[in-house]
Amino acid sequence: MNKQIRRYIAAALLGLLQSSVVSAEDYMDQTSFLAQAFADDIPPAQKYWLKNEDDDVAQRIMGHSLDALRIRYWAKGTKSVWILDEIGKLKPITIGVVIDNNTIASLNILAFRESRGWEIKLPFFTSQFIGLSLTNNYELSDHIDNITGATLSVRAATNVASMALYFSQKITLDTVTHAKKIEQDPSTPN
Amino acid sequence: MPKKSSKIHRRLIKWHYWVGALFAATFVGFAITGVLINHSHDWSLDSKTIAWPWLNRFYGYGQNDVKSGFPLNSSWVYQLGHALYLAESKLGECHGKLIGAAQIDRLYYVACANELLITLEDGTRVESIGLFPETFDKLAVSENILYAQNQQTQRIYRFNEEHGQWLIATPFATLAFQQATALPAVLLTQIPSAQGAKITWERLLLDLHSGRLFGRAGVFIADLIALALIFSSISGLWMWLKKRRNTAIKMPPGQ
Repeated sequence: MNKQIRRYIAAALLGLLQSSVVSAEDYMDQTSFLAQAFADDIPPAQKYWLKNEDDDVAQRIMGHSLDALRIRYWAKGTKSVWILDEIGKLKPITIGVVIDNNTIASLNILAFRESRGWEIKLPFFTSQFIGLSLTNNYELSDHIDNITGATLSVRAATNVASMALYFSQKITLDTVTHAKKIEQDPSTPN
Repeated sequence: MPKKSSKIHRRLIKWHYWVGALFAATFVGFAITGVLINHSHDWSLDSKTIAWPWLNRFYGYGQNDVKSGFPLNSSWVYQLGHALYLAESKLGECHGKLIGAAQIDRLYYVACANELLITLEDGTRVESIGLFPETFDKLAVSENILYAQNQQTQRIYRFNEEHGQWLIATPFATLAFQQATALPAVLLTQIPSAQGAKITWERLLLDLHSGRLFGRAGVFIADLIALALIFSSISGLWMWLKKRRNTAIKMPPGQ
């Protein structure tokens, strides 16, 4: 066989082998994600302390309680950003959700630790979430197409999107309620 | 008269036979695991678990031979498989190695290679931080601040409580990184029994089929097998077409 052809085949094989070993944990770091969401003007992190009713909603959306007392979020104006973990098949997937005016502005897979189902981090999947809101039944306002072989990862992403929308509504409600309290009684603490 | 087999054709036949002979068993294995994976739900392979102790240990489950941990307040934190324990109470799970534990103010911080659990003193989980800039191997506490280090890169990070993230740091003083210490004999007798088997047949088949059961080397070998299969298929098809053409040339016209 021609030497040149052999070299080309060897190079192609090496390239193929290299690309096949995809890290199961490719991710975007928190700072980069927040910078992207807030155009580099990242607000300070705030803590949302969970209530019993939040656990009930989590049971309804995710099928399990949140197992935490607080979660962090970042908010500025009408925008809020949530970074939540949810188990795919066996390991947690870290998902960042940007909410604007109680609709999803973007959804990003920040860390993926399973050996399959990583396709959910591709734009063709995550772009489905843009513009969705939460219905009264705590469901997304539109259907999300499944990916064959990644059902559990898709479900994790859908659940996180719904929870982020729920929390966004909660902090909006809490802010409005608190503002009204201050209006009625200016001595109300922040 | 049909043309004599060209040099390329003869080499192709030789390679086809050798590749076929070397990889025959793996081709069969690929096919069998592939079919089983396709029907894993129909045949309940995704729910049936394997109770082989050596396999569970290989995957990090069912380990009941924990000997060391990290002191925390007046108790101990240790890891059993993926489960984290504070004395006899389960704190939670983390999928990386336990690297240390500390109390700062009234909160406990239990750090694994890629996860940080923050709990109250009674073990109630406050928060879980899962997005690490890199895997950590060591943990230290200095002046009520958590530090972690990746042994390979030697980079040190400081945990920023306000933002809930690890930021690169240059500590002013040398840090005393924690080392796992032998658990007291009394606690060893109270450690919960081995965790139940969690490996399903589907998981094993997937890891076998992809080669991931044997780590990165296994993935490379799986790729080689796939390439060999592609080569065998194409070369076999090429030889078949060539033979058909030669047979057509041999037959006199009209027959």
